[in-house]
Amino acid sequence: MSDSAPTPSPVPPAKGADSPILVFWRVLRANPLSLFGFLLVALICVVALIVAVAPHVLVPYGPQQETGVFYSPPSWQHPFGTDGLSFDVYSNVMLALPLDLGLGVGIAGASLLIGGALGLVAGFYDAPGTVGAGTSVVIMRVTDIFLSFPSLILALAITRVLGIGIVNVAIAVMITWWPYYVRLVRGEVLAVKHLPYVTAARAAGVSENRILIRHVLRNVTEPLVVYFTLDIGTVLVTYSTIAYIGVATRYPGPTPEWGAMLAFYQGSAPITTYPWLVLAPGAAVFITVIAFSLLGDGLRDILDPRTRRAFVRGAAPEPPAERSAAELPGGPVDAAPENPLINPDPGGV
Amino acid sequence: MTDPVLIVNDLTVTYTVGAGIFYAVSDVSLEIEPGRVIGIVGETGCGKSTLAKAIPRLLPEPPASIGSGSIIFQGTDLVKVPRRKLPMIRGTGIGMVFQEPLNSLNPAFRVFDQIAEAIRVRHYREMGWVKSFHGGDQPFDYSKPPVTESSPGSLAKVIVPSGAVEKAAHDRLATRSQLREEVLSYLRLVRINDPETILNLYPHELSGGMRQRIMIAMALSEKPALLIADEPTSALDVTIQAQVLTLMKELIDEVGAAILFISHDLGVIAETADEIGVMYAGRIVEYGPVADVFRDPRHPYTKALLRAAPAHYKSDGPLSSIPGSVPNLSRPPPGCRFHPRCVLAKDICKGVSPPLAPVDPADPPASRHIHRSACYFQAEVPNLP
Amino acid sequence: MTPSGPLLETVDLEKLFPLTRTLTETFRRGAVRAVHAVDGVNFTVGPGETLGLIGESGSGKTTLGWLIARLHEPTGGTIRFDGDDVTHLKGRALRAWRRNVQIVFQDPVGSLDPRFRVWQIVGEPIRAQEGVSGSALRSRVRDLLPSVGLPPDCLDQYPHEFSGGGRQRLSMARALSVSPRLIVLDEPTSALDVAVQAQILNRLVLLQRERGLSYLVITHNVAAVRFVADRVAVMYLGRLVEVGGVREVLEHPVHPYTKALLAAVPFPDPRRRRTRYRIGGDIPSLVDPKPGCRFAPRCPFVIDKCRVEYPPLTMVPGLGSRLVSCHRAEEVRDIAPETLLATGPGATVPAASAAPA
Repeated sequence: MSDSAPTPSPVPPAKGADSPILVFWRVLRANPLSLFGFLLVALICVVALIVAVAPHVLVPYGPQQETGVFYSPPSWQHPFGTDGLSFDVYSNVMLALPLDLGLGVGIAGASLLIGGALGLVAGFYDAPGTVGAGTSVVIMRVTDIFLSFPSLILALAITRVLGIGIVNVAIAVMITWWPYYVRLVRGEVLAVKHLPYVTAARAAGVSENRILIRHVLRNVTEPLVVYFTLDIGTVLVTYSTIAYIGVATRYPGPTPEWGAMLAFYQGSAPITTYPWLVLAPGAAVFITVIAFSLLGDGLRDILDPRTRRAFVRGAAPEPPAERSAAELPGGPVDAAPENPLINPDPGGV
Repeated sequence: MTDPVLIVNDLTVTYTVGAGIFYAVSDVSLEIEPGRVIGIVGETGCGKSTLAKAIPRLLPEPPASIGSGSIIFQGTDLVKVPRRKLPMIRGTGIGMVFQEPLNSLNPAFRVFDQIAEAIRVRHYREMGWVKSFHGGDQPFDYSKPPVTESSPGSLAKVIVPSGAVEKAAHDRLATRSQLREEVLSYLRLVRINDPETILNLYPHELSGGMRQRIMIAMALSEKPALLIADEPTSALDVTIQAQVLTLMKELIDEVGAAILFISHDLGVIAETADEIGVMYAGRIVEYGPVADVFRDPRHPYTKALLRAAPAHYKSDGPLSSIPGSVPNLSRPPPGCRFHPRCVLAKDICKGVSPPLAPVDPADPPASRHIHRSACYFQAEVPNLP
Repeated sequence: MTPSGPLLETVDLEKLFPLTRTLTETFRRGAVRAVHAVDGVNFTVGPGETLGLIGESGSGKTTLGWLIARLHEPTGGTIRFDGDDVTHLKGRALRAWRRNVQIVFQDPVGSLDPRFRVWQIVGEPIRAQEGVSGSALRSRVRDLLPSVGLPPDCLDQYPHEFSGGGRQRLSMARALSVSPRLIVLDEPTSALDVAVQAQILNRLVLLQRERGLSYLVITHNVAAVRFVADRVAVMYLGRLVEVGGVREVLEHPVHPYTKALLAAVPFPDPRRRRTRYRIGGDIPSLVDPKPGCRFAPRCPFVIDKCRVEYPPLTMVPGLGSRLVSCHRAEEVRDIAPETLLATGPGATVPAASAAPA
């Protein structure tokens, strides 16, 4: 029988398969900026953890502790200098780190969970004529309503209703943030749910709910993770902007926050004379956002199977256009209804 | 015999990927004269598409790189041409037709715009507005065999006569109605019966066969000296494929360009090619006039491939196939790359890779158009079942 | 259940996809236009038999395959499986029935979830139908893999680590996992190289002999059908135009479309080059087809009757159980495909008594 003999088999040897961590490391190594972003994010997280748990290790002064030195430029004792009330700027910036980081991740994360869940439902259960279709429509229209407001203004309006406070502002931002995730996730679900492997699962007799959770969800998470990572920076900037307006927390106060610090220093002292006052919190925001952006970019390369392929030993690089007709996008040629505008009077021989 | 349009010498193309080097094409040599059709046949992963894109240097050069060899197109070695000058040879020098025209045609433009763009590019070059390969205002004339520019190593300089600005203004680019006439003439060339209706349609409104005809019209409207067709009919239905192949054969006779035709389908190659090269794992393992290679294959792979070809299926007994699978080209087998799957393999096959040697010892070994095989035991191949 | 009857039977099977209406159409309240993907198809598949379904894109053959696997619901007609009417099964009953008919999809890359490992992919039907999971599932899959020619130790690999032929084998293993009675194979060879095609086709025949499976093989690869099928049905624009034993149909096609199709297949022998192929026209669309024979616009033998009246699928005298849908079946039956090569639409063909050129 001229069928495939046991050796050589049509399957590459299992021992050649590279662990995902190794591939991850190779991709990072090939892309220095992503590596930098990754390390920076790791550093920021570690520092935040230390400051939150054992602040005395890295933070010499309390947030409102008077040092006796006024408007001192950066020096060894005061790396970011001191302000008009002789508070140590460095300490305040560091103490604000866990708060701001937590806010960024938390708000983005909560929006992801809420918006993502809604998007999954809206995207998957929308067969016409079912309850799901009606639910989808409702979800999407509500999302559209929220999206039609500029998010910053909406957040401010909600803060006005809820009152001043860190948590209230966080809630306000979250309320304006989840609709983006609904749209994103629904779009991904729509792209995935017509793929052949979903149909194959249906053909195997798998129930719809299980298809959603096992197949669709796992294939939707990649772009979601990338977006989420990049979003952390955006959320942080938005929150800081609102805090800048003064509705989150008072500065100087027991809980420093970068946006509030920026607002206070910008108003209270001439920037040209004492630039370190605004540079410090501003740079903190900037560095955090950049770190997450670079990480997000790197994640995109890691998670995209096509670019990742190039880093797996033994896998062939994607050959140029060597796909046969069946593998072309668009799937089986006559499984879906045709475009009625196709095929005018046939021009032929 | 006129001078060849394209001479490829010992071309090697590699991909550098994070995990190593991938040897896509190794030591491939070809010669194509005007009016001849050279068919390259091989399975997936043999490197034929890489070869097709390497010749006009369409491969993205960071992962891909041309390791060694030369590509001499009308006297100029394309490997040595700096990247910024490459657009000059594409189009009016070398035209390409790809596999799936839905991907090659811009979905945002109507048919008229796409063909008109190709024609405009040619006009610009003919008028000398843009540096072109053919040297200014001499459009390529199909009625005469091409005169090869004998200035190796440099592209022909554009000699712009004095008063060029006035001349250009006078020859100002054809008006839209003139362009329309030319576009229609190319559409009729590819045997579209009702071209006026087609002009205003978008690619997605057309069938696959029509799109492919439009691709061919676009490629021909630039009057290339060499046309590279990479699986042009593989995405089409059988009846449409037959129509398009008939069209291509008639155009070959009318237009006289040189054609490099790449396919995995032996039937299609048998229909269209004058000479055929069989590729395996990045190398050409057999080459020769198509009738000779099909009638008397002298490489075990060619013979096995022909035996496994669909039209020879009989209804009794299992189909013959080739045991094993295509090697991983980041770790190619030493020596002859087919030896792990070859019934004739001996120790010598694992050593030095066999060069292409003439099948008939009486033929001059340097000729590139005779029947040659890269197998030490080519004489025994006819005895294989 | 009728043990001696056909395993699968369809009666006037129909699937229409309504098109979304443009605004003007809604206002004009015209009839909703629809794509008639499958438009009245009758055929049977016996136990242990292979029926080949050939046609080109736009013929509706993939839709027909999906209907048989109940991935679409028919908009008309009936499907009977083993005597039971399964046309409108839903929900749990449908999912339970699915173990009888499995499908191998056209796209070996897309039909395997890239996030799942081999044992999860191949074992998914077992898990869905029998509730087996974990290590029991793994051992079931491990026992199954050799029968499609895969090594049993590749359980934990991902689909992208396999070649095209390997992925096709995975699809086949998945289809076989619940021991179905009928497998629908949608273009099993079109993504594969020639040598791999031969391997897969050999494997299909072997499995059929071992397990008494029936196959519905949907393909445009005429030679593959010749090897693997017992009977063949030719489909054009949503309808069957010719049905019969595979060797008979391929060697002596009666319907003009079958002739045109066979004449178009390029032969890998330069001595048998066609002079030219001029059976013209593009494949028309499936939207609201006109009355009369669907092939009339392109048929070299067309007469006025063809454009008006649809020829039903009827037997041709003297050709056994062959069914052909053509008004001029008897006149044109002996005209060989090669003679079509020089003619075009509307060309007059000499009457059956005169020898063709």
